[in-house]
Amino acid sequence: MVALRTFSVALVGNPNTGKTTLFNALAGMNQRVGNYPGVTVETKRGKCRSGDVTFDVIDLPGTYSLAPRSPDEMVAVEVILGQKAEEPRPDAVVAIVDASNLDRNLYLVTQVMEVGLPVIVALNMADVAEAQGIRIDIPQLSRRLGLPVIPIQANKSKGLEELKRAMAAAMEMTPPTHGPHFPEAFDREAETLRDRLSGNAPIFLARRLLLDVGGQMEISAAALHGDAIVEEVRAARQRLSQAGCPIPAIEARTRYAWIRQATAPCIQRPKQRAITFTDQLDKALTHRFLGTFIFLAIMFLVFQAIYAWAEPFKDRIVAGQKWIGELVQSNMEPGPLRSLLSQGVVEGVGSVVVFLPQILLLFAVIAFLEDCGYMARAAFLMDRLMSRAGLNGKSFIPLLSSMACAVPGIMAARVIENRRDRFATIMVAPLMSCSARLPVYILLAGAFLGGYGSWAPALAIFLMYCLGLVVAPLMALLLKRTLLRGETPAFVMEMPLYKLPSIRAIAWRSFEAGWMFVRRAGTIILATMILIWAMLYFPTIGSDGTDYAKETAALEAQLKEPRDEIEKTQEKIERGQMENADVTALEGLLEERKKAIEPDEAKLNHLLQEWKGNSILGRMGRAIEPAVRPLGWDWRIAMSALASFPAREVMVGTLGIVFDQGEGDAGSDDYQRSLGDALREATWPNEPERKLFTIPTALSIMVFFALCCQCVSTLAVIRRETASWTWPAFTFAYMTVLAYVGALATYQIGRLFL
Amino acid sequence: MRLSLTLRWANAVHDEEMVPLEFLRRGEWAEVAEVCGEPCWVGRMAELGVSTGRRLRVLQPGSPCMLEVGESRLTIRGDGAMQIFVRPLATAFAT
Repeated sequence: MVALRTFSVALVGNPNTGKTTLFNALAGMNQRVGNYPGVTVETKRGKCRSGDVTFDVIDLPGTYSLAPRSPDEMVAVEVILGQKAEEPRPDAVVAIVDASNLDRNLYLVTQVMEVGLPVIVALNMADVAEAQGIRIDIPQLSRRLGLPVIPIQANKSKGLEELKRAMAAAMEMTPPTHGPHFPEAFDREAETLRDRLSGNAPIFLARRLLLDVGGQMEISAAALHGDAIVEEVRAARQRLSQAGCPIPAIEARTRYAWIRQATAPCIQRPKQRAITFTDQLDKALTHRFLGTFIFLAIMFLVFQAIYAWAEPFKDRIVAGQKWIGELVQSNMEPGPLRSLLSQGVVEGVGSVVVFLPQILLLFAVIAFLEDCGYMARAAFLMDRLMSRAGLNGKSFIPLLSSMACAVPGIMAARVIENRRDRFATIMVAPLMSCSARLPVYILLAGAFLGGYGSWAPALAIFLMYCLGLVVAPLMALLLKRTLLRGETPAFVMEMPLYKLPSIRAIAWRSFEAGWMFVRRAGTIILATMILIWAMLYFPTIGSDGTDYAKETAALEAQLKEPRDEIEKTQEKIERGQMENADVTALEGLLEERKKAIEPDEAKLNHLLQEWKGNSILGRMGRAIEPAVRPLGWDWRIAMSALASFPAREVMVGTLGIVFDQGEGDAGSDDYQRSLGDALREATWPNEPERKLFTIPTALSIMVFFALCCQCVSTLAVIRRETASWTWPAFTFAYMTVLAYVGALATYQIGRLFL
Repeated sequence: MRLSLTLRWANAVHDEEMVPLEFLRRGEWAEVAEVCGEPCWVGRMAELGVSTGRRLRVLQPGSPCMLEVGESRLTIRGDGAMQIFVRPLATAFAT
């Protein structure tokens, strides 16, 4: 029997070097994503085998250096140094480098050489380098660096066996002993500092503490040893500067000098750089006008993908959900369990799954744009505009996507490296008017402004969209000046070369995003949906002793047959119309049948209305009525708004129950029209003369919906992306306050004019 | 204000023929003389290959501008480009 050995390897490299591609090629489907508390970056782990050795591969976030400036960047350093309590230190490091940009990539490698682990260099994209006329003498490079250098082509899975063999051989290797030499004075100061930290602290950390002015090491050292240590570090830097060793310039100087000297004899570059495909493409794609035009066209496509292409899939999911709900309804005894399953669980699961088409499509598009290199160009074009709101060019796509749905939009914010910019983008993304707000806008604008001509509702809806577009940048600016204030390092971004992305990688990214959403956000969404169901269901017995659950169930059972008949007749009429047959008789029959069940339908509705009004949520609506009076709302509107906090699309259905129209098919035009009529006729509970809905009230509800975060899925995703409950709580609080103030102002000002 | 600041800098460094990166036109080559500003910014630029002695070329001027540094292309905003001082070079070099 062969003894199996497990060997743990960390993967590091610059962004855009094909690190993730290499990881996927090594680990395949056999991988999982891990999060550390308090940080928002992810590390992936996977397993692969070579002979009798099993490798545990850790994919660390892409970075240009091991100089941590934030807790997120600290993760890679801590994993490599084995300072994460819950896991052992890796046995070796594989540094992936881009052969077409060797000098810059080796900067990180020289830092990795100092952590005290065996290092293997995986030389990627040799084909690209060759196409540019760059020739690398690999054996010589390996000798001069003192490290094994393995040429690979990650996107074609070439060289992986050799790499794995080198990884296995690294078990017998010792950590590299040579590399860039810092001045002796520097090494002495680092030693002193290490002893000051504690005798067994890695020398690597002491050097980082000395080199990274204002870096993460300073912050954690100050937290551990008090502010005195920072003063000592400052004094040490002062001494070094006077000794001709300026900090931090010395690091770049020392490392690049060594890299130059090591690589010069083994790299041949063309005398005159050839004009590449990337140069040609960039001329058009980053052109101020032509490039912007192309960008807008691509953005239209992105928007189309999430808005329109996802729609048929969404419809199918909704239909499936309805079908399962009905299956439960007809196969179970009436009672709380049936209601829980059909309305709580099925709808809850449905409201998770319904986001999947959008997430999968958006992430496929984003993965394509990123992998082919276009994303950085788009950010370049949009940066001028976004920087006015204190954001950067990369915030554009998340915000635009949020106009279809904030959930994929917020997930798309992962492409923003800077933490503050990313958080500001996430916080304001839900302000963009998403597609779920549209039914509410259409209902209210149609019912109350339709009388002025078709332009009035259109204008109102347009203004609601503008509201988000205006408030979001203002809010971002405010956040960047207050909560997310701090020295944002000046904006710099690398433009990768254009290349053809692999379909497999795109499919994988899209699947990964979808799965993550279902697993991490899905549970929270489901739980909240069940909670709201319970708050609308209980208590089932009214103050006069009526058992609502029992009576509505009985009525519904009684109505089932005539309702089915009506549906069948309707289908017959539709089929007849399609075949141009005479359907007058059938239409008469339909009317008759509808009339026959009208009293029962009215009774059912009345019961439902009483039940919901009597429910916990209904009582809450009554309790908060004094607070919403200044918005022009009564308790019924308040209750509908409360019920739509987990998902705003519930609003239309709840209004339907409360204002006597039954739940109906909230999407159909007929239903919207009849509900609109019902709303127009509704009066205040105690003043039958006074109309409840006036134009200011309708507008105030619309503004409330435009600004409020009534979407538990959004909050669950924010929680996932920020790795804390504070940020979703803050988003919810600020948006609710904003919505209340906005609705209040709309109603009070509107009342003066209308 | 930004203009006057730039002029002041331009005057101050006139002797060494150093100009802020912002002053370069499309297609011009230059050698980095000094990267000023926050240590964190200086460090980041060094990692990306922008440090004293390195050659770069302006692909697109303005803010943000696009540079070619070694084998890579970078985008930097105006505030960052103001902190990078360069000596313009007459001819094109292959780095």
